[in-house]
Amino acid sequence: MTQALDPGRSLPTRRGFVAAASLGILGLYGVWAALGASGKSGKDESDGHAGHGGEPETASSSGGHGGHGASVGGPSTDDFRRLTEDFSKRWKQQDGSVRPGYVPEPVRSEPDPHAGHDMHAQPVQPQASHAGHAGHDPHAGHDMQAMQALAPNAHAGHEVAPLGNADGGNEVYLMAYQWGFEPSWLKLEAGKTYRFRMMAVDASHGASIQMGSGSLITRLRQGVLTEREITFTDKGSHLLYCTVFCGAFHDRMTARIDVV
Amino acid sequence: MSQDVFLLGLISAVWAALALAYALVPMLNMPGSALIWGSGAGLFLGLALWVRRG
Amino acid sequence: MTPNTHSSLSLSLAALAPGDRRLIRSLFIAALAALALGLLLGLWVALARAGWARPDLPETGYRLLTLHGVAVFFDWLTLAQAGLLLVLAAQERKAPLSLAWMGWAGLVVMLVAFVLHLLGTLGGNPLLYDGSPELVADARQGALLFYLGYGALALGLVLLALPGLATLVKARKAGSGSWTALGFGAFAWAGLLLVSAIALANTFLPAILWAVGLGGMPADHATLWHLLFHNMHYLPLLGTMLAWYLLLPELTGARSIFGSGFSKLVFCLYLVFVPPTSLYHMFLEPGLDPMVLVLGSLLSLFIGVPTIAAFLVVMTSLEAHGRARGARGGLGWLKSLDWSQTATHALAAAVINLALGGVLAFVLIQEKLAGLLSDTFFVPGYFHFMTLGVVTLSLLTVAERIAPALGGRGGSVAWARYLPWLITLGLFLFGVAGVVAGSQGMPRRVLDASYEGLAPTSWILLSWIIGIGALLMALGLGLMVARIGAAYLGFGPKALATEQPQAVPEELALKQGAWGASLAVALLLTLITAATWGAFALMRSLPVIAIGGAGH
Repeated sequence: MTQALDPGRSLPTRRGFVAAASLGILGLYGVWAALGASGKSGKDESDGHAGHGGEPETASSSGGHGGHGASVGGPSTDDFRRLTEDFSKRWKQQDGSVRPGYVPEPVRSEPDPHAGHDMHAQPVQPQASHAGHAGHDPHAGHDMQAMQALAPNAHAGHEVAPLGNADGGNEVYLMAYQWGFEPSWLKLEAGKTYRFRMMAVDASHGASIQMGSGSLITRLRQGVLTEREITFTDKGSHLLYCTVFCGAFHDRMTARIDVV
Repeated sequence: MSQDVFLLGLISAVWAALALAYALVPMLNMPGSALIWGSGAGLFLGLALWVRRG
Repeated sequence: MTPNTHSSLSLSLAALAPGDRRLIRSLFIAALAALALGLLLGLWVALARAGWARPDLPETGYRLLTLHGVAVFFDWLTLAQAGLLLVLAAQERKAPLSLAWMGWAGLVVMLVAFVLHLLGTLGGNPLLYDGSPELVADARQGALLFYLGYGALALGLVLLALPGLATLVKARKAGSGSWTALGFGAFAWAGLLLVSAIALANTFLPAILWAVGLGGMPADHATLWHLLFHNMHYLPLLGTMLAWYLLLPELTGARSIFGSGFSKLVFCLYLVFVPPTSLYHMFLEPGLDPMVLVLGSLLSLFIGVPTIAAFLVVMTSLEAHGRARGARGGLGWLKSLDWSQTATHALAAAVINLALGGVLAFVLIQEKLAGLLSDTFFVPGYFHFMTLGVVTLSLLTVAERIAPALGGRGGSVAWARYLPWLITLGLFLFGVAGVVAGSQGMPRRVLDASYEGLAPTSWILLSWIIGIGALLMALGLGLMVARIGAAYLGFGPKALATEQPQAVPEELALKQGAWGASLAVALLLTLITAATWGAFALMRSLPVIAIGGAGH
């Protein structure tokens, strides 16, 4: 205290000045507040990508539940596989894409001829861009296993809650596995809000979407259902890719989202 | 109590409070954090006592 | 010719037992070897990302990335910090070390840890440095050696910290019953080293037990890793502050004009604020309560308080000292520094890198930006400024300055003064390109970011710039390590005797209008604000609205 009052000291050599200047970093909170980023998250813009001012069409996602990394209240990985399979089957289009809520084009009822195979080793048209995967995967068993779970009737007899038929195609199921995504080609409508229900079924993965000048990064933990409500505002084609190291072929884990 | 001992004790006390928060506040729910910082609090308390004894 | 006869640090090291000096010298030699290995591996990884090097198998690339991280982040930093701790203890004690045998044991255990890490990385499924158990669920035995490497590292940290702690306690007792600011800081820092050992054990003991079949798969490994990593990367930042406190009187004669009590409080606050700031590593984790995100961002600001305070104490003292010695004009005090010394250049470069890294760090701690920046190359783009540009340069400077007093060489060579700037230039290219690429979503921890032509073409160009930056960094750092390593091994020019600059009377220094550091902090805060605003503007420009991310 005596030092602070000492006239022999210049201002910047006073301890009180140093303390006050150091506390100045806390003023950054004011900057965040000015940017609209200081409030409680979760209900209206939990990740800050909701900055366009438009409210989403559907209810916001639920807040966090349970411990971190714990799967509480969500489906098991097997159940999620089946839910994803149902989702893909229901909305699969003639060109191989999965377009939830798209009615004019009839949904294929016959089993997928590629079911049960490594999707990358047997690419249909949309996966042609990922043809480089073929032959790379020494762990095809993983894919096989994952895809067997996706195959029609692979788990007949299990009681899994069916997808709501009245959702109007607002829900998107996305499964991440070593090393791919299911569905691997999504077609979504611009301006429509989708509830993405995502899960990594064998190890932690990322499900990030490249948006040109930036990306929407999502981290998925094994067996944890992660939900995001996503509205694409412009048309375009986006790379979906894994951003959490998941093994040798991590950098080949991609899918495609076309916004139409 | 010397300033050295007081400051080491302060670190211990703050870490202990944080460990309790990590352990008991449901919102945080981080037992791993509670264990590390709780152990750290005990460690710094031990260090403070060691210094005090000299 | 007696090297540095009049240096306080040299006198302190001269007061050590010969075996103590051999121990410190051995620690730095091992540390430099780890750094040399790590930088070569890091360079290879950067070249691979740029497409200029390709492994035969993708596993190989990830194994090398893992070894790069382990060699630099765990081996180099731990060994060099252990050496610095003993130097600080020697400076405080000015007599032989206590429990020096533990230091030798710690060095041996660290070498064992390195071998275990090496074997564990090269065999089994490829793991990153975090050793995620879920990636080796079907081959857990293969990961055992890797986990044991971390177990040995924990033991090594304890063994390396205890001689420093014991020596410092003796020094306090033998002295006036209290430490200098540096002594207190070193003691508290050594305490944090021990806490890091606890964090290591906390993270990897469950993994070890699981790998040998004595426990279930660690469900909370990712969270525990975040905590460990948080601890381990704040540890060297405090060590860097202590290194600056140690070196500045040696280089300039300047000492803190704010009193030892104030400096002790700053060091204490640093430790107080480390635990609550750990939340920001988990912003992307599914299942976090929204309020934790807000708290995590807010609390993370507080670690800036002691960091800026330490910076102001050091730099204002330096400027006041320079002005008291007659420096005039806005930058006269900077010009008056001894720029013939490599150390002056290295520390100046470290200060600039601290500012650059600091600006980016405070963008990363904002929870709403996590969905834009976390898990992208923004992160390595930022942290290389800190780990290499600040911490490594500072630790190397300590190593260089004490080499002659430890029986090595260490004569000055003119070209060495350019190396810190070459490193900084490389860092700037690496960091800026990395930050831009990260802002666009280019992920870290991939070897091929082209995604077989599906990624934005800018990622290719930015990866090239990152590769060029890495080349420059590696060249500068490699030469620096080679020169210092040669000095420790007895090669190179002999050091000339240097006079430690005299301190000016404190009363005179206190009267100086030393505003430089305060203005620098004001500029830094402005840059942080601008960078934060820019990141938000980018995020809001994206053609997407996203809500949530919660896990169930």
